[in-house]
Amino acid sequence: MRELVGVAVFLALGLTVSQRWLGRVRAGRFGRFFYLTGAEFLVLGLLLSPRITGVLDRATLQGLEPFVGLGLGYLGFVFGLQFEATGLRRLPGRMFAASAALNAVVLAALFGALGWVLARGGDVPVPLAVALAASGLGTSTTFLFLVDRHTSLGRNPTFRFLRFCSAFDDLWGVVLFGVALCWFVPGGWIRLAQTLGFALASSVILLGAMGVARTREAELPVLAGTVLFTGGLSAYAGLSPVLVNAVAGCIVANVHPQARAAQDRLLRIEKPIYFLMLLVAGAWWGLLGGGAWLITAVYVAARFGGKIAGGAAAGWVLNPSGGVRSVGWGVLAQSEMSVALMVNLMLLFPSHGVGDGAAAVLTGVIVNDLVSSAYYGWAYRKV
Amino acid sequence: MAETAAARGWSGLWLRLAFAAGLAGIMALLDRIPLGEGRFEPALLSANYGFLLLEAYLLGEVFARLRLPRISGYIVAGVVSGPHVLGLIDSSWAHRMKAIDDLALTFIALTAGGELRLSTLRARFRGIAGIAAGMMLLVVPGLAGLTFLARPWLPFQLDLAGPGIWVVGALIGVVGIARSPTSAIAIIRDCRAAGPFTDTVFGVTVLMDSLVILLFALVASVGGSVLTGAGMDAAFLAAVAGQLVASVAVGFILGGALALYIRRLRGYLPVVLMMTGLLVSEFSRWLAQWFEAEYGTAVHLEPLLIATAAGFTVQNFTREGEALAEGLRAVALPIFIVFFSTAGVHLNLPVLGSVWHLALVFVAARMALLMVAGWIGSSMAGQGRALRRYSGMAFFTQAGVSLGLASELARRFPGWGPGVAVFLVACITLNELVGPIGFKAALDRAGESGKGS
Repeated sequence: MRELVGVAVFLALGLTVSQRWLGRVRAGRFGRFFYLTGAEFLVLGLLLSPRITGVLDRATLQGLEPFVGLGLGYLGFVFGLQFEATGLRRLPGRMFAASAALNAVVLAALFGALGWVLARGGDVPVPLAVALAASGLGTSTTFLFLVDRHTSLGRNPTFRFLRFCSAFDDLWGVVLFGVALCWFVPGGWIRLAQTLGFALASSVILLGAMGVARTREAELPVLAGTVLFTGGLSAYAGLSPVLVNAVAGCIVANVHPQARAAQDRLLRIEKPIYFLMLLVAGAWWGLLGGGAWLITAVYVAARFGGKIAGGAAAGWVLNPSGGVRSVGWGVLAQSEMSVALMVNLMLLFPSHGVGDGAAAVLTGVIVNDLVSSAYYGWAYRKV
Repeated sequence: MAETAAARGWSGLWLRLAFAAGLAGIMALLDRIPLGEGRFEPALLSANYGFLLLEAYLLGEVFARLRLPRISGYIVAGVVSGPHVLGLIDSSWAHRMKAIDDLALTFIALTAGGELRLSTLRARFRGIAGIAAGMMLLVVPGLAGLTFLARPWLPFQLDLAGPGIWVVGALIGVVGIARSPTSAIAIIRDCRAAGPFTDTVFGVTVLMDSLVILLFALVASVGGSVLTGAGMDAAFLAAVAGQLVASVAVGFILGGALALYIRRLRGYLPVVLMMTGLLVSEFSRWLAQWFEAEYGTAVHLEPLLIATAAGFTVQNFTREGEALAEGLRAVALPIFIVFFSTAGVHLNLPVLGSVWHLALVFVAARMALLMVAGWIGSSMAGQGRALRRYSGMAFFTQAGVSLGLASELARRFPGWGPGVAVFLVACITLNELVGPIGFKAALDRAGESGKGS
């Protein structure tokens, strides 16, 4: 229980402080939105880790595993629920093409650079390179929400594309990550089939659970139970709870009429769960002792370069005859899903290599939040 | 139309049972799925919680359709899934799942305190005092007498001469009047009950929660001096009373802090309330360890009392009572489900199996005595027909406090205490299973089910 108390205290304090005071902090150009995206919990987790204060040690983190499993399954499910075919069909096809262009460039940049760095250690750990590259694709929804809330840019046409990107970048990331995870241990294709089988079974359980929860009050225990059960089972099988539940959520979104209501209900508790995830990620970061400077520098630089170049490609696909080419500056802030994917990786396959990779991603989250805070406005400049 | 609704109810029942069976099937087959070397064992805890949450919810709904209390369904789900029946959750995992108990228990106590309204307590004081007095004056001596009469058949060895058997009997009697505020609040919520009957029995339940601890300390001190021939352990009694007062004081301070949070910040209230529950139980444990380490003395603040007092303070002495109730309601159902289903997983069926004959006699006698005590206490206090006839039924359930007293008895009287504690655990197990049905029936018959919000 010690672990729960530690987390309870810091999470409660964090929630209290962040909602009450951090919104008023004048942190300069770089820190404008930094304190509001939740990245402060990442730093807090690092401070609590064995490397610094030792409040959250290895045993403590192991005690938190069920809650982390819940968080991962939850984020996957909520993520999957947003992909309802009817709504997606209303979007112009050019947006999908632009998103694909953006992510292809970012993926190529990250995979190429990470593959080169990891290969320096001897063999080429392709799954790790793919998993890390996948985590770099995402764009922060929270950051865009803050831009919309605190500025007038929400009315800008480019903003609509950025919002779209924040959902679709993660989709590419989650799928790639889940596939990469299947190759971390022998039997890749079988594990891929298992992932799909688990996702299908999870969606059946989700549909059944939503069918029996007839009252508003019953929704929370039933949804929480389902997310815990399916997320826990997929993690037990060594599969990604994020991918399994994301696919299940996607299926439910397209066959259940109350899927949107369920998503709204789940979104109300998103912030504490995401913050818990950040806290744990920060603590693990300290625990695994990762932090090879080269991989971190390469990851941050490749993602930055990939996003800027990918943004230009996406801008060209959106409007070949002119318009915005600096979209990349608007999609720099790294997504909640990136952290979830890294936590997923650290949970299932803790090793020195994964620790180094996680350190790179988590550093990237902080750096990208700071840079985004300063330069998000550049995304709306016309050439 | 009614027939259609009934038919739908029955089909819903079979649907839920089938779904529950399907989930149980997945759990049973889990070890047979070829998962290779990527298996990640710790995640099974998360899956166990999820399975129990779903299974208990489904069985709770099935029980509701059978006009039985949902919490009985939650408990039965735990029993069936637990190590002694289907073994879907084995002993080692069941032990790890205990971690959530403290959080749930203090959270529910916070809810119970938040439901207590001073104005209602004042209005119902005569009834509450009358029934509580009836229980102490009738049930305790009644069970002590039964222990004396049944001594040749008792499943534990008592090498006690003369008044010794009466000491044991009195202690069994005191444990017999312990109630379960957690199950009371869960059943009241489940039945959406409200009215004078509900207020009075709930008031008695919360009052008895504190009184029974004091009474146990008193009987244990007097009994200890009778058995050993030494003087009465007044220090122990004073320490227990002091700890209860200190618990209430800490609860009042915590209540003030919660009210301040709600007034100034309010955000994420359900999360903050859950964490408060966790912190209360941990603080209490830490304080006990600290006193033990620093001064070699046991000082144990009662977490349930702290949480109840905190909820009571916010509800009655601040303007944030409604906001607190709203925050508690938002997450109450999953917490109730997890708490009662894990309680079911931990029910000690082997112990019950070994002494069930005599346990059944004691449980039946306790129920009869509670009914009589409810009748006499209500009549003496000039209460209405419903309280006279049905209040006793509302007090059958036992759980956490009774189990705590049983283990305290084993600790304090190492010679014969462990044997008596095993027998008490068997009785409490039966009461935990049967009690909620009695309480729901009492609320239904008093006509107060469905009258609350």
